[in-house]
Amino acid sequence: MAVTGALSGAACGGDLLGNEGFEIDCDGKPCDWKVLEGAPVTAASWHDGDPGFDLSGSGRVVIEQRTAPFVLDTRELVLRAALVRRGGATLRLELDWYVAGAGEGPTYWDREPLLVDQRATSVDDRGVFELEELVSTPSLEVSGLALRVVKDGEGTAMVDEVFLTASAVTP
Amino acid sequence: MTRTALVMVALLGLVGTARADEDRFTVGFRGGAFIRDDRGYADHAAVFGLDGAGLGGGGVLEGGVRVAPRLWLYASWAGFSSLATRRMEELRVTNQALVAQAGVTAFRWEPLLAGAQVPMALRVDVLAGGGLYTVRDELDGASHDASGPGLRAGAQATLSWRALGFTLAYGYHLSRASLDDRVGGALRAGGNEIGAGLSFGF
Repeated sequence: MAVTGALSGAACGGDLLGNEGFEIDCDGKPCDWKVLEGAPVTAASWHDGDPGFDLSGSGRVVIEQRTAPFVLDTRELVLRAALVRRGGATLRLELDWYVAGAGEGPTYWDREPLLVDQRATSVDDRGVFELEELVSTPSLEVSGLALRVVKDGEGTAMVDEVFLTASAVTP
Repeated sequence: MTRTALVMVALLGLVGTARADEDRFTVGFRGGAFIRDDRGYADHAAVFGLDGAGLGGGGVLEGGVRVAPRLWLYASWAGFSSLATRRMEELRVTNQALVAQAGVTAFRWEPLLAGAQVPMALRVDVLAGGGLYTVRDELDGASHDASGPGLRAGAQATLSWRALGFTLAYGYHLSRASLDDRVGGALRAGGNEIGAGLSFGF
């Protein structure tokens, strides 16, 4: 019940994101996620039966999910992700927060939302682990989010099970 | 050292005495848990939201024949399974073992009541043997399996009343049959087995 109150208008289950496990396929690519840079492989993660994004290799890879509109009644959220990081790969999760724009257009993003803050979380851990990071929004007025996973350097990097929920909620 | 131990076990099995009405055969079933020999696989599954792959529930079917006063030969099948769920997905892991063992009755106690024998006995057996082990997983239609030889060593205590017995058992299974995940983890077919169940002697 607290979830419904904390996040509404977004994906079901109290999670701001959609297709958090990359299982939902849209023409061979994970729905809701967009590749901005590089050529990640949408393949198996830790197991052949569990799809995820494999960002391994050399060079920069960026994937993004945009979500809007939503209504928050808390500024404190928890970002969770299952990650693999080995070798010289670095991982960063970036969150761009938006308020609704006054433009014209069929979607939230067409109506020129205003970027109000950019926040990032660098991943320090190595190996196979669950990232759990408390993040706060710049205000309760935000209604749009662009979440990016950025990988640089050379090495193994995988991402799966990405959730952004109210802090009291365990997905 | 190992040779000496084996000789002692063999002598213990052969030199004891058995009453004429002692059981010659036994069959039993135990339910229990199997703590798998996890080399990172179960931890990785948990990181990805599929918790519980390291522990299976299941049972053991076992039959034995006494070939000497304190020496038994056993054959058993053991099967254990676990199910981890995440949203619509299920990770199922099963391991099975078909094992032949030799067992020595290390302790046997038959109480007397007012000087008369009662049809009750407590028996502790020590077992060791080997057999074939398999381990298999399946997640969203993708499965892996592995099989290979393995060893089991354990002990079991049986409290019996006439033909019916209640058994508590522990066994350690050693097998290199292993499932490998894609990020360096492995789950072996061996592990620690604990169980309790019923047996019938005749």
